[in-house]
Amino acid sequence: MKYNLEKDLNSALNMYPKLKFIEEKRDKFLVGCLDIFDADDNYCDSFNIRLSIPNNHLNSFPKLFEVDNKIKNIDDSHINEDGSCCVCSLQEEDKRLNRKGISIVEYLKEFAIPFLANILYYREKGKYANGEYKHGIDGVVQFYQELFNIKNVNEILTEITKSITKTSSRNDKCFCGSELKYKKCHLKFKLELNKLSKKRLFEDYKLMEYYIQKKNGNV
Amino acid sequence: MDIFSNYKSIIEKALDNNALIKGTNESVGLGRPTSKYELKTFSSDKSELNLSSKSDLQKITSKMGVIPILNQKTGHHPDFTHLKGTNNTEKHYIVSAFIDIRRSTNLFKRYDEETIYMITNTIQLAAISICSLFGGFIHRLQGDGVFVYFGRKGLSEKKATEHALTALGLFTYFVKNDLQQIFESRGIETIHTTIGTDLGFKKDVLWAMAGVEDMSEITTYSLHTSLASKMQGSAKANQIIVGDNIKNIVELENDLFEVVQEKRYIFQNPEKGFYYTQYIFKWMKFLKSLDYMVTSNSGKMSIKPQLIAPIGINTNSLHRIAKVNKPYRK
Repeated sequence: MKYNLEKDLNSALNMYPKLKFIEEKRDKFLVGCLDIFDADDNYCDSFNIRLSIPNNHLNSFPKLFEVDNKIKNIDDSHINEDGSCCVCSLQEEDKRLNRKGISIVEYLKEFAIPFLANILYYREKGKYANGEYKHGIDGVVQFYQELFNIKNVNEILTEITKSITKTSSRNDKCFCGSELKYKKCHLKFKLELNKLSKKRLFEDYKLMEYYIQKKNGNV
Repeated sequence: MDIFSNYKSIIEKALDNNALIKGTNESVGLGRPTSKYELKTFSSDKSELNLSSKSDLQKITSKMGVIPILNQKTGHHPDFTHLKGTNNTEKHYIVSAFIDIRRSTNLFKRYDEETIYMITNTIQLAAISICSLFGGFIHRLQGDGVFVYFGRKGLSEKKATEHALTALGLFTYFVKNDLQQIFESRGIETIHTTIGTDLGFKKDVLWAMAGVEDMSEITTYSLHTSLASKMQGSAKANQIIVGDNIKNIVELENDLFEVVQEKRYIFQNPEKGFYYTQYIFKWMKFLKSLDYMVTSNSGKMSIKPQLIAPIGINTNSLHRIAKVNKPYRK
């Protein structure tokens, strides 16, 4: 990645001039206002934010905080315990970082602004534009269930194991029971799984094991 | 910017007077209206000219502490009319701004004098309107140009300077963006503006009457008024040049001011160790950073609606931005 932090910050400040850079001890932040527009360039609303820039810039997601508590007033809002906005699932975050890292400008464009637009959409329609993930482990399970379009968590775990150990190929029979090879059936989902880091897959595996045990009353 | 849409509309009508090339009956209408935009119609349109979103703008100027000067009479700043007909003087700060509108002489090849008058007069009126709205006093009209004072008794130097920079920035945006678009879409060399502005503090500004009786005005005698005019001469197309005093009082980010490289010091007196720097003011960045301005995804700038009730949101259009997001909570 060509961006260094200074260049990235300058791009962000030029693109979003209502944001200001501040440094508190060793922590770096962008603070100020983000204006939200619809796809036809009509102004919708503004949010005052505080964006915490991670020390390992590019290799970790910044944290978005909405400072006026506009979001907290929404029932079931997607705000973490530390007050940061949960702009996407852990898996999407992992995929994005795995791909090429993420700059501050990219984060603002791809995650922060769509998230805030989605909050406004929810305020108007009572639902999110593209649905939402459940909270906690349930959201992790939901991610894989939607990815594979299956409900059975055990089957998901088998697929994750294969992905971690790289013990399946495109020519193996697909997990879904269609008797077709992966390449003729669920290859797209398999490729999506391959975009996730091993660390993420391990963690999700453990979470989903716990999920099954809990469901079976073993925890 | 939407606030100047009425001015744009008049200029467009005048520009479309190319239906009749000067001195001939040859038509180059390109599908645009072929009826000439007459001076009579222009006078009628002009009398109704107003800034759009004026109520939003007034809410903004009110929050900014602007004290508007109503019923202005050039050369007679209402706070100093007591000096009229006397030899009295008074010391009071002032922000002086010189706005010039530069047009290409090529315009005369394409348009008759009436059309050029309508175009430049409308641009001048836009400058007058926006400056007046932000508390500016139109001290003098100089051909196409405008000489404006910002500052009143009871208003701080800092606030008057902020008002001046905002008004001058908005006007320059109108000329650089809105006008450029309508000129270029017709294949015409665009008009541009040059602006110089400076603040003179109380100790450096003397107010007094110039001239006699009916041939008089109440004006300022100050190095900084002279420098504002001189800085306007230094400005390139659509630049606002400001002096040290402006930069120092407003407490804005340093990167909004760039030293004029060709001539750093607009005035110097080495014997007294006095060196006065002129800066290019980054007005576009300044406008974008203002709380009451918004810049859309495509870079279009507008006034943020100052509504008490929420804005009617087009959810279909918002959906196209929001749909890439699917929130989660750990």
